[in-house]
Amino acid sequence: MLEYRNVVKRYGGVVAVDGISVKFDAGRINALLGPNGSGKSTMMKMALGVVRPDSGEVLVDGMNPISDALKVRRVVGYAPEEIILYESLTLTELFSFLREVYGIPREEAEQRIRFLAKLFKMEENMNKLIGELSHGNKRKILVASALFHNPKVLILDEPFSGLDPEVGRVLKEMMRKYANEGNTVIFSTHVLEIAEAVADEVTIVYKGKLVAKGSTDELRNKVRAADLESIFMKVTGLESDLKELLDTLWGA
Amino acid sequence: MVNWFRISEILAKEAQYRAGRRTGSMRRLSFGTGSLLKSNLVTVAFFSMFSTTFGFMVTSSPALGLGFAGLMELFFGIITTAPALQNMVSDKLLDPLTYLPLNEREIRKSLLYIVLYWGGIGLLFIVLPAAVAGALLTHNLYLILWGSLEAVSLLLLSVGIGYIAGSVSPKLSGRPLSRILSTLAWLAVMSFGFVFMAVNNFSFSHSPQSSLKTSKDLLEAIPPFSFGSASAGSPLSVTSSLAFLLFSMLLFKTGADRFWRALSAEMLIVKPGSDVKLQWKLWSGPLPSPVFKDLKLLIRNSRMLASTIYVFFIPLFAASPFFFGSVHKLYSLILILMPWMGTAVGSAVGNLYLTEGSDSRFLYLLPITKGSIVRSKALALAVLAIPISLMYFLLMMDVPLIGAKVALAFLLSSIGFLFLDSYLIMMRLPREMASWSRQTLGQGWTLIMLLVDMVVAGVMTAVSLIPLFIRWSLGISLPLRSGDLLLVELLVFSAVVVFLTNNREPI
Repeated sequence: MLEYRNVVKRYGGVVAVDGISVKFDAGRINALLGPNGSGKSTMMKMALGVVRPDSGEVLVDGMNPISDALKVRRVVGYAPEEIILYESLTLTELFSFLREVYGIPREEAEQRIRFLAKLFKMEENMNKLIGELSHGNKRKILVASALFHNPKVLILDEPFSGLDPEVGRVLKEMMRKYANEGNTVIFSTHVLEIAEAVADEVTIVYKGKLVAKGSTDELRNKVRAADLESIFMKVTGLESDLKELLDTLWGA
Repeated sequence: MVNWFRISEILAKEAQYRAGRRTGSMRRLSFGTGSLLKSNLVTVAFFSMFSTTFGFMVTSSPALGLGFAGLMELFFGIITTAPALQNMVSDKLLDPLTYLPLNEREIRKSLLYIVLYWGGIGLLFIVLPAAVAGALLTHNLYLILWGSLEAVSLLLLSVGIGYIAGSVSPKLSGRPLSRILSTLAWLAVMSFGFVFMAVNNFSFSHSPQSSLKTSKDLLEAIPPFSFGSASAGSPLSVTSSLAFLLFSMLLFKTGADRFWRALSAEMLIVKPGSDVKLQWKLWSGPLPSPVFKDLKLLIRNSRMLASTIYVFFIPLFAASPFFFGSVHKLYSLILILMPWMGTAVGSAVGNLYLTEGSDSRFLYLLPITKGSIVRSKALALAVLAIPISLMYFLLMMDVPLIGAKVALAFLLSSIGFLFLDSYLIMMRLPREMASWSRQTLGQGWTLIMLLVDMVVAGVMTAVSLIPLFIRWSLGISLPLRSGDLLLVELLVFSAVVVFLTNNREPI
């Protein structure tokens, strides 16, 4: 379980997260939505302790990511939106390093790597330098690295970006399986159709504030909108902006 | 229609901006309105002053005077162009342009202009003033002609080598043989200073008169020394110099073509390998995986690997006079040098942090302590220090105990300073991943590291001299000699540093 209690984070004069209190339950897939710069990535990084809140508290499985950083990072699997990987290592070398960092027994690690390599179709790339692989393959490696140590809380920032449809489908099923096993799964995306299809619960943030939370059905009834895109536009107040943009496009 | 001057301006500004971000300096961009000469004004002035001194040497020996000036031009040419061009390839600076409807010829011209802008014209002024000064002093105007030809040849050669090094290095990491060649090439560039020593020895240090004459004759046929002799009309020197000019032109053309291919977006797309190895095995060697990872990252970066090897061997060269003859009996003196050699080795740990660069943000996502980062980097280089310490032992093996003491002192000193410097750099890493920038590993830490290292080495040396001082001033011989005291100091120092740098905080 992941909980944010009245969390505030500023970057200079810009408020990235503005007093958000929200709880992401275990056993569910949570989609974190919001326009660019709304604070999604900052919230995700806070769960790992790599971004410190200015005030408020974040709790991961009851632990504070700042004071219990090492313990928290053992239970969290995080794949950032930006590709941050050692490009001059091979995939095998990267996993050798991760195995030792997480203290996973050799046999278990090998079994796990075989499983992930098959699922994400990385078997042919195991001995290649990561820098030589395509953007989509690097994304798969990031996601596989996040899953490698079997985390209790899985946080994926834009995981579907650059994935081919087949692996994208596998990832969706993987997230479902993970949630069914009692883990917490949170992902962000700008593709609202994916969020609608995959997530049990949707959280929408805008300008650092929480503007909506609930299942798609709940939000649909509450906001009186037909689909997630309409819900999103209504709760963020971007509906009129969008209308103006579309009028400009079609010359109304 | 965008002209090549405009493309040069855009590329040069971008390259300068990125270089500025790397070093932390954001100098004002002056490019764009001035001529080539204006862009090179500072280097022209500096090199002209420097070059005039070679002019005096020309009066006694045109071959040596213009030859040494030529070697300097070659050296500066390679060290300025190769890294700059390599950065252009690794940063894929040309990629955005390749998607635009731009003429290839214009882009290629722009690339040449950039090299000249980064000091290419200035390079000519390492040789030209020397030739002019020599010509005026000796009344031999042919020196100006041959000096000019030499300056142009060496500019073409150095830029050609720069093009090749720049285009090859970033793509090498997958192929071991190419990597070895690239590392050797970088080592050759870094060790260029030794060429001067070798030429100097070759031309002056042969005692029998006959051999001196033979050596000088041979030297006058070898470019760039041949250009000076060609001014006196020596047919061999003239032929050799013209052949060198032709070779430089060809190398420049080959290098420019190769660089263009590397820079073109199409070449940067990695084609699928034909032999896919499906077998893989997790690392199971004697080294912990984090140390192995740091070593791998270093090995796959030819430039950093060469720089590290170079730094490791400098102390060995510095101590080399003590290994021969009866001087090795002064083993206390060799031991006293060891803390200073350790500072050189320790500073090399910075290369590991630089090699990891912005990828070190990955560490923030993992349950890793600061101490483990310090340890893995220091141990990765300590592994390389072991064979060097064995070399010390072998070089002083005629008295095995002394050899063992020197080898041990080198190893302890290296370990101590590697851990200390690794800790000092690690402390510079920001608390938050998002705060990591190119400036994180800017030049500030080098200065701090250097100062701390010098103070520590100075204190150790001073303490070790106490027995020597007491014997000299009071005539009392202490049971512990200076060298042995230093060995004890190094043991305590390395143990204390290893213990104290074991920071258990998460990164």
